[in-house]
Amino acid sequence: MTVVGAYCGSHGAIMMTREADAPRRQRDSIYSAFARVGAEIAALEPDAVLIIGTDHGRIYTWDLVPSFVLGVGDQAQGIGEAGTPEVTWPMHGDVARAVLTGALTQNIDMSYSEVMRIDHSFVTPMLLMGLDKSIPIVPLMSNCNAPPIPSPVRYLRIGQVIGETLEALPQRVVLIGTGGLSHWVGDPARREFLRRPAGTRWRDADKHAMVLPDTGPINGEFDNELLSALRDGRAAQFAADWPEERIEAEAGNGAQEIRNWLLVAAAVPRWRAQVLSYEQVGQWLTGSAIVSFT
Amino acid sequence: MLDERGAVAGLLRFARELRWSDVPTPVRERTIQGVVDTVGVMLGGVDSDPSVRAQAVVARTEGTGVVRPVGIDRAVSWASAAWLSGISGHALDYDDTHWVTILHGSNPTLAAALAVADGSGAVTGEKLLTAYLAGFEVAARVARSMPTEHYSRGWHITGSTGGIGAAVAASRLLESDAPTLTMAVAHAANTGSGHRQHFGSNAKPVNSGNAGRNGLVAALLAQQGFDADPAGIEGRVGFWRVMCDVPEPGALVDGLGSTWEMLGNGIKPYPCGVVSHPALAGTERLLGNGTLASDIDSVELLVHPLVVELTGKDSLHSDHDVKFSIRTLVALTCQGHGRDVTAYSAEFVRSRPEVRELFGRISVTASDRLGTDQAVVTITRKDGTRAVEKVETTPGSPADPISWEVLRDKFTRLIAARGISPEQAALAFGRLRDVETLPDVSVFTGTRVFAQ
Repeated sequence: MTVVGAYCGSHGAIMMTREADAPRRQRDSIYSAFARVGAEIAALEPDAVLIIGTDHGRIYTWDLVPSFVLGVGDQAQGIGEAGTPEVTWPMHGDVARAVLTGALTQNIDMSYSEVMRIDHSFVTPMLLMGLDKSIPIVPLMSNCNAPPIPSPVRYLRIGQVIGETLEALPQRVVLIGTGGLSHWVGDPARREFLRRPAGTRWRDADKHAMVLPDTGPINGEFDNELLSALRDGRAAQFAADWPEERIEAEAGNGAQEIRNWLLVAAAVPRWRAQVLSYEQVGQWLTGSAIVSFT
Repeated sequence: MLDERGAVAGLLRFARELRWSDVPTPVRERTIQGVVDTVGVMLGGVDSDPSVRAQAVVARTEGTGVVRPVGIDRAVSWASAAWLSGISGHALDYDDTHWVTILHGSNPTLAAALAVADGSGAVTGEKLLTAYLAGFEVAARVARSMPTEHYSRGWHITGSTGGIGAAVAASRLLESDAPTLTMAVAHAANTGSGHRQHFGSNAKPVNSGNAGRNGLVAALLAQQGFDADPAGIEGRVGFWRVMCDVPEPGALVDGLGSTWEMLGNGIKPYPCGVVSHPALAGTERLLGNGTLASDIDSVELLVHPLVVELTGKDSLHSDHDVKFSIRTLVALTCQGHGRDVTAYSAEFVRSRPEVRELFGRISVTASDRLGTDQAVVTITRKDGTRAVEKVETTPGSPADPISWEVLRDKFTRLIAARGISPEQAALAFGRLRDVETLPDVSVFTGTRVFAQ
């Protein structure tokens, strides 16, 4: 087994851009959990960090909306949006190629990019963890935000395949899944626009650019159900209980990102999550959590 | 970190070591009710089309054996006894349901256990109850460990996992040791099968019979030292990997000994699949509140999407078409036949034009917002007024368990439908209800349960 660590966390750039708005106790809880994860990862001395994030319509616009894109090459480019800085990060080509081949061998047609670009869903947690650039990453973008999106069960299957692929590799790899928990991405007009049928949006894309901040209430019940499912090793049951429509209606379109958490949980099926921090941060409009799998 | 092999071993250790004295009272009561109900639906199902045809196959292919199936006065082989009891018990779609998995776990488990009881003799009620509970818990937990792809891909979960419960129950009665039990379960996992394609046909109850028979044979093979790969469930290309995308091994052991799957089992008040029950309960309540069938102009049903998927039949060729048509079921219920097992036949519905006529005025809409135990029934009366009933929990579901009175009524109707006297039905019900103190449960096989 060469997965040496597995973590999941929220990824809102708002955690950094509006750091001061959050109550001190909540801010400290979240920030220290991210820092703890960063320190643990450094101590694990991994060869690579495989990080699963998403895109918020800024990299993959309506001309091409891929479901899964794996970064395969030398370096990833953080595009610098939502208040995050433009950053470049080294990528681990060997691990990325092995994951890509492993997926294709298992009949999962994963797209890949040799000039991988990433948004705040990768950069925010990496910065908050204080991840050292000496550790190359393998970024995997999944489409959680431009419906129609892959089913939660698909994420479980891909997680399972990634876990099995990594198991056979000599490299030591840490997994990080980012997104969620309950939150509404974009203002109501943008959300309404996103719900329009595929094939009808590209002409009006200019009129409905992504407007932050996010909006909508935090659903603590949803958040806690996810966290306890991961604590008890019931990711697949959670996926069965929370189909896309139910998540959208009750926990917000941003909560669809917890698919990335399910992927990580399925990659380490024998591990159970420990919640390092969970805070309903009203100022950040998001149920924010960080978990570690052991 | 959880170890998959350890999880399987932990569950089987629990099943092997379970003692009746360790079982909490509410679980005991539900287990006893499970025996009463399951033997009741087996007795009620022996004249059904699938059971009669299956009996003909056995009569044609087997000499006289030593074991009687439930409700049938003919000695056959152990395997065929379990097979026929399992087919009879599921033929009416009236046996109990483990709601979260839609597993009908009692029927194959007790079909195998009662064959052993009649074959080996002197199985006490307490032994039977313990073996049944152990088998049920194992089958339900294995079913739980496959939360997503298994059922939706088309596996009939009673056929695929019921045999594992049957193997455990039979092994308990055969007093198998730990390695033998592991082997029995591996054999049973290897034979799990059955597809949802056959819902609405006679092949559906055969899946239950096969599970009972295969589980029994698995236990007997293991007793002979007949080996299988012990990692039958968790191995690289074993049961889990073949049957579902992402298994959850923790479901086998989490809360073992404190969380009882038997409490998640529901005994049916209506003789059809549980997905239809919320709509039937809502309809019954509206009629109980004074709406007359003759007053009904139209009925609108708002139901879980699975109801539409499973019970969308409009044709009326066979008895199964009745049970798999939510509109026919609601029409029957409006006419007062919701709990009348004899009304669940194509012939009965054809003979009642008012049922077919009302059928045409019932509409069904699926809603993701409703649970499988919920429905909203709206009746519009001919005078234009409307009555709405939202069913939040369905009678007979784990949240609203069936009472002894309703169970007795169900049992009595099942037996009466076969032309057996009410006195004999009452005698049989009493024997089953008192199973806990019975010295020899072979009285439940054949037709001895009715004998003075």
